[in-house]
Amino acid sequence: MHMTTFVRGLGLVAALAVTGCKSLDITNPNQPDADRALSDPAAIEAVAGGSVRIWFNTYEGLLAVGPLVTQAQTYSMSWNNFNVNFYASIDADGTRNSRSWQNSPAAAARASIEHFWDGYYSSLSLSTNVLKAIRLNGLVINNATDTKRTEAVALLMQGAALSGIALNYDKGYIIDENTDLGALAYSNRKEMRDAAVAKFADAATLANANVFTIPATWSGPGSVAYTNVQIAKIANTMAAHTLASWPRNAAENALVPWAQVVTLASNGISSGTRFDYVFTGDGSAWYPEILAWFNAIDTGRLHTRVANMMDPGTQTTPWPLAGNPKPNSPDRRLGDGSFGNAATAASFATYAKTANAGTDFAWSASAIFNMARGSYHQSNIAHIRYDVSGTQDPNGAYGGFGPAVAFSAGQNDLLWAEGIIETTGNLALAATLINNTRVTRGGLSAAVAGDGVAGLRTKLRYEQEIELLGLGAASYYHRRRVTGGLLVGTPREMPVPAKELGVFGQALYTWGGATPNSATPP
Amino acid sequence: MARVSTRVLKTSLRALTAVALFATVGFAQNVVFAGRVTSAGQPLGGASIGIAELGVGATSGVDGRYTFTVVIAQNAGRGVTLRVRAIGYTPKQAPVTLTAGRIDKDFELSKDVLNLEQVVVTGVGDATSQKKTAFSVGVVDASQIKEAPSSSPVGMLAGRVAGASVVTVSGQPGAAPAIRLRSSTSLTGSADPLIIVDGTITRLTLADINTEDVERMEVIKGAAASSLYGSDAANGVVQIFTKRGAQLAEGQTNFTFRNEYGQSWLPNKVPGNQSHEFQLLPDGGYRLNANGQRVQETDLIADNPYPAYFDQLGQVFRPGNYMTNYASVGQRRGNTNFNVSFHNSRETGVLGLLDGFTRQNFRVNLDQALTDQLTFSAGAFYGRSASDEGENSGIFFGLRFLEPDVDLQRPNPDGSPFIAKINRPPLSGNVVNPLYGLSNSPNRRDRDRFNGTFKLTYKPLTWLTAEGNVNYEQSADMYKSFTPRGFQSSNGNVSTGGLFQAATSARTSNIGATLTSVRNFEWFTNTTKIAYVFEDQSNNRLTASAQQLTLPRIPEFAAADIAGIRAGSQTITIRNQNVFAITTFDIKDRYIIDGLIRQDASSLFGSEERTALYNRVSAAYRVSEDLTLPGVDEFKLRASYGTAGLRPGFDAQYEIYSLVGGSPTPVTLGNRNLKPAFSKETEIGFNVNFLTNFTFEYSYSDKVTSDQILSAPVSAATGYQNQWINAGTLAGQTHEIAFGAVLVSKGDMFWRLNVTADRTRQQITELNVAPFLAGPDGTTQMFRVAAGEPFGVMYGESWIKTPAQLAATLRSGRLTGTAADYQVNEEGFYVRTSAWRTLAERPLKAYDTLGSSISQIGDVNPDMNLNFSSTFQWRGLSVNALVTSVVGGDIYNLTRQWPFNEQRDPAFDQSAKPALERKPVTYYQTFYNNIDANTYFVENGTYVRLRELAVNYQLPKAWVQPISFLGFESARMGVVGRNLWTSTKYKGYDPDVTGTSGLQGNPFTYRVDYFTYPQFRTFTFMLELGF
Repeated sequence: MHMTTFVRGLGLVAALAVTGCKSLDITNPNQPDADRALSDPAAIEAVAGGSVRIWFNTYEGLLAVGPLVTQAQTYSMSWNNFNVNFYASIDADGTRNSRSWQNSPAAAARASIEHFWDGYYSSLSLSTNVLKAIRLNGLVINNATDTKRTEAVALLMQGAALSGIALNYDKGYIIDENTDLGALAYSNRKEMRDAAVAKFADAATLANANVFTIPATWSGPGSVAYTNVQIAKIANTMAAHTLASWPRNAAENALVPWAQVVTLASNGISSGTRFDYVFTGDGSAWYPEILAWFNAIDTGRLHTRVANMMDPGTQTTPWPLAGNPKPNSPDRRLGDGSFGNAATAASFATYAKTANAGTDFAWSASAIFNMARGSYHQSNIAHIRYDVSGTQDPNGAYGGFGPAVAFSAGQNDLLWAEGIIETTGNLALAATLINNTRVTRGGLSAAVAGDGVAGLRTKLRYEQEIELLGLGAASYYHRRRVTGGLLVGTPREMPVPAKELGVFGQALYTWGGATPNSATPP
Repeated sequence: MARVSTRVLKTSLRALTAVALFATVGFAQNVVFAGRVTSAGQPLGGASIGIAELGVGATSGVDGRYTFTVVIAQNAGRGVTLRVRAIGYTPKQAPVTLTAGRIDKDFELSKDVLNLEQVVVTGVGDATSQKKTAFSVGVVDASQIKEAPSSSPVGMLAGRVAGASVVTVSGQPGAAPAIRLRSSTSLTGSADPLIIVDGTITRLTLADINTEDVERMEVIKGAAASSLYGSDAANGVVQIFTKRGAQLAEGQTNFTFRNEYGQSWLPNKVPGNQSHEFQLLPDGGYRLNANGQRVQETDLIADNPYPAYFDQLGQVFRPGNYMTNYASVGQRRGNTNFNVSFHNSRETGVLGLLDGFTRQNFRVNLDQALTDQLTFSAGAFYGRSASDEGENSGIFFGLRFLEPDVDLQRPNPDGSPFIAKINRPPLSGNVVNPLYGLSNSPNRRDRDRFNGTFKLTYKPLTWLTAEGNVNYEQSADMYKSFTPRGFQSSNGNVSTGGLFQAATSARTSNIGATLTSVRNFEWFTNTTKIAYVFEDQSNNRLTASAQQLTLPRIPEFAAADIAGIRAGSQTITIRNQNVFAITTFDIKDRYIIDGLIRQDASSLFGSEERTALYNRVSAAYRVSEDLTLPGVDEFKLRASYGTAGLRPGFDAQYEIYSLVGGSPTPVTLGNRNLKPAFSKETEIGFNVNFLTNFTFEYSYSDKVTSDQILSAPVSAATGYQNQWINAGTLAGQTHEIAFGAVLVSKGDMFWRLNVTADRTRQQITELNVAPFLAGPDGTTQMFRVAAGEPFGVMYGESWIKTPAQLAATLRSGRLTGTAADYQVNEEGFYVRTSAWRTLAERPLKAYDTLGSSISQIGDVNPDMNLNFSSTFQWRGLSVNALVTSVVGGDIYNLTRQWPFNEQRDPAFDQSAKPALERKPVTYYQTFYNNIDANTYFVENGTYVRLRELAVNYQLPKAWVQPISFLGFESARMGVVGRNLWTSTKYKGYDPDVTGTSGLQGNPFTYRVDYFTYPQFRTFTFMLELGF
């Protein structure tokens, strides 16, 4: 009996040991690898959509956009989330005027330099994978039409990613489906710009040559399904934006091919049937971060400099300790600053909407943090143009849901107008383009050709400051580095991130301080 | 592993069976051994008496008597050694010659008051006396545990094992502490040692295991000892053995019913700023401007009293209940011993409105000898626990932002309890009423845990033992967090609510087979073991969340807007196949030489690096066996060198695309060559026992862990973000001492004192990625990881306090003028002279001549850990005390820094200062420094703590008589205090503080005060009944 038990027991142990020899080759079931992620045409098509999503989240991402818009003294934020306060404010000890980019792997604020770099190259990598599959491997996605629309969007995103690097870094890699990643070399920012514009041109050409409609999900859940014509116009607007926003200073601004800007913008999204290149935030995968923080009354505010532009009579700059009173602006976008209802007032120290309420801005009695704490130039004015919190939750803050405009028709108007002004072209048309928002939305006196170049430029700048808020870093940063609007020593561009330099053992460097940007490429 | 055919297996088993039969069936000529074991004249039950050479023996009964029979067969006339051993006593032996008939032999054992004869099994081939181990093995046994058992067994290692740093991650009831043995081995990963409970390699929390069940814990602290456990043992090994009745006397049944009841409370309150800088009206109210904001006085000095004061900490914290009930029955009879126990505990903690932590555990362990050669052991454990947790709701954060005139117990306007809308501009939404959150937004965790063990031991020959074991463990953890629709923020914003639920199911098993040979030769004994271990682990996690609830007060997803429900899941499977061989030579009882080799194959290694090899060689020399040193009873020199590993995380080797919004995006570049980190440790030391009553142990450890598993950036051009690679080396040196003294051992009085101390230094000697800053979180990163840096140094900014700093800053161009333009203010900081005692006064940031403001500002590594434990017994009275101390090392007080943002720290309060020296709030706000690390919040972490004090009294039998009708024969009662007294200059709640997850995955929260549940003090009454 005992031996039987023993034999059975030993047999059991042996059997368990043998059955225990399961394979050690375990597939990760939680996330796919490249083989599984890119295994079929539908996956490649999804990659194209993914490249758009990543570009959008990068373009709107606060890690980089936050410091840029506050360096431009357009928005203001006393929080230091996303390093916004670190890069934008003046230390209370008064020991500096601005900060260089902290380009060291051992610097906590390095992430702000990495955001655009990582995001745009991630988007570029995806769109390049798509083009490799289609152009090099002959992949057909469903049919010729679907293949062409995927190809066109991939080209658009290649241009968008290269543009993002060209506008914000001193150099970068030009990568497309023909690039050997084993032989990477930097191109200067002008070469980056030109490569971006070329990709936009390719995208526009391809879109104009084929009839298609892209999936609405490529602009966020339940968003807009753009046609091939619209894609071509978007490419032209983004190309115009790339050229116009590229210069780091006034001298380079003079070298911009403004005539090309006019040509591109005249075929952009405000030409013919006007439309905005709009996405839909879903609060997670598609997240317009700039709106989540700067279209929320209790987080980001308008800089007192801009508030003062709209209503010099009430909104002094910098903010006095007691704060500024309710506004009474001639600009209908601000109006009397009233907002919401009594419940909103209780939550945000606003006051209930009147007939003279502004469309884009609201006044709040409360400061965010003690205003004596630092020189944040934080105004009483909050930007609420894209605040759709009311549709989601009557009293809730903006949560990243709803429409988020990346490029507006008004923006294309202003690019077009600026090109005309800089080339001293049809000033009446320029005035009309400015008035599309200045009068229609702002209710301000119309610009006219008689204002001349200087007068029109002033009104153009005003519109750029007010109308383009919330569209990525938009023109107010890129324009203000041209017009001398940045504090002395503020960097005009970013260095290649330290972690990228570290991969190749290259020396660390940065921009800001005495050397705000790189030399103008020939 | 090669497949074994059924036919071959059967043939082998038959052969083994035949050998076994031959060995167990002899001829009927016997010798009967009998006798009595006593100590101090009293019978000693539970002693083990036997003849190792023949594999026979017995256990003494309660009366100390023993008897066993040996079949002489061909051994007639053979000389053998009769050995007697009992835990806590010095063993004895006697030579005997086997002749038919009866041999009577009595033994009188003396107490081993210094535990010199303690036997350990961890890291060695077979059970080995501490006298003969070639490396340090820390042991904590039931006698040290039983007086003041902690909620988790790991807590009992604190102060008792040299080199073991036990830190509190959270004071939340039921939370297990974290442990680090000697120096760190991982730059970015966990410091957790491998935990083995009754043979189960557990991957689950030790918070489920009650300390009262623990018979013994053994600790080995690095590769020099832990090589036997291979690729997951570089952090050391803690092996826990639970009670199974094996130590009882033959025929003895032991019943214990232990109860503790008492209270807990917060020993140290950290106040906020008690003054403000706002203008007051004659009626005591605040003067408001046209915008409704409070108007600041022009001097901006916070020296005005608030209109009212409330004891907010008193409102949030309250004394809580502490209760444990433990019942245990153990028995040893014939071929069977077992222990069955039930544990029930409830700790409410000190946070108001919460029920805290409850746990019920049931455990049964059984050993059954089927024949003289065949034994099986089995065990089962089931535990369930529930806790409502306050930590995740951020209340410890919001609590630090309160102004003192806010009555947290005031009702809301609708009459519901605890006012929610307490924010008053200019304060931010950081402030919350903790009572409102605790009352309305519950976070609850429920966990079930099962563990089963089975071991079959067969001794076919007296020198050969075969063993097979199967260990299985599983846990089901359910976490639920609910914020009802209508929940208000402190601004009065009303939320649509939220619901989060996570269900985690974890299973782990290990199956092993070993063959152990113990051969005695004329002048040496060899012990050799070969073993195979298979580990299988799986974790499944399912999460669901909803941000929009459509109905109030329904904490289920049915009440959520279905469009807003999001789900996630994760499945992890890990397998390991390990084989090892270990051999030990014990030469003349004085030279011990040990060597092992182990190969691990793991699914966690890259596919091109599936196996890893480890080895160890160690030696000990019992000098005192050869040399007689005056006053020295035992002197052993020892040295050991071994290697062990740290396994990569589950997904580290894989190429990973994430699926976001339905589109695949590259994230991690795979690494087929990813290896486990490789740790080498050399340990040398000595043990000396002297003057009968003293023992001293010294160990020096040198750990070098290379192939650190790091997430390294890759070129963004690839589209990937990172790749896990082997890059970097971390080295650490530790000195440890353990001193034991029996100060009194006379008659009924016994007093023993133990001292442990250790000092660890650790450096990053190599880093093959760019230096980086890390932790504790994404906002504040202060720990610099760079080649040549000590591991644990903090980098940040400094405020000018010395002439040299001022000079360097002037040279950097960050300050204008000359040194004459600056002076030291009342707080020791340089300020601009023209600004001193004005509204413009500010501390000045220090820069080096190159313009950098970043430099080393602190080091979390203690200079030394020093601990004292004392056991005093006199007749029925016993007093046990444990004093732990940490000498030196810094704590970064982030809990203090953040509220500087909104003037809530007591430093802002100027009311007690002479008028001239009062400074404006803007002066102190400078230290907030955008929440970046700076010297203002680096504090000395030194402390001394009376961690445990237990005073118990064994009632005289006559006193127990009235309850003898219930079967009780003994009773002990007493008082137990935990965390009773602390001496420190640290300004936070408690100097034993480590941010959540510290050492358990993020080493960069170690000694960072990060809004965690503070530790509390507990005082209980204990009653223990038994028979």
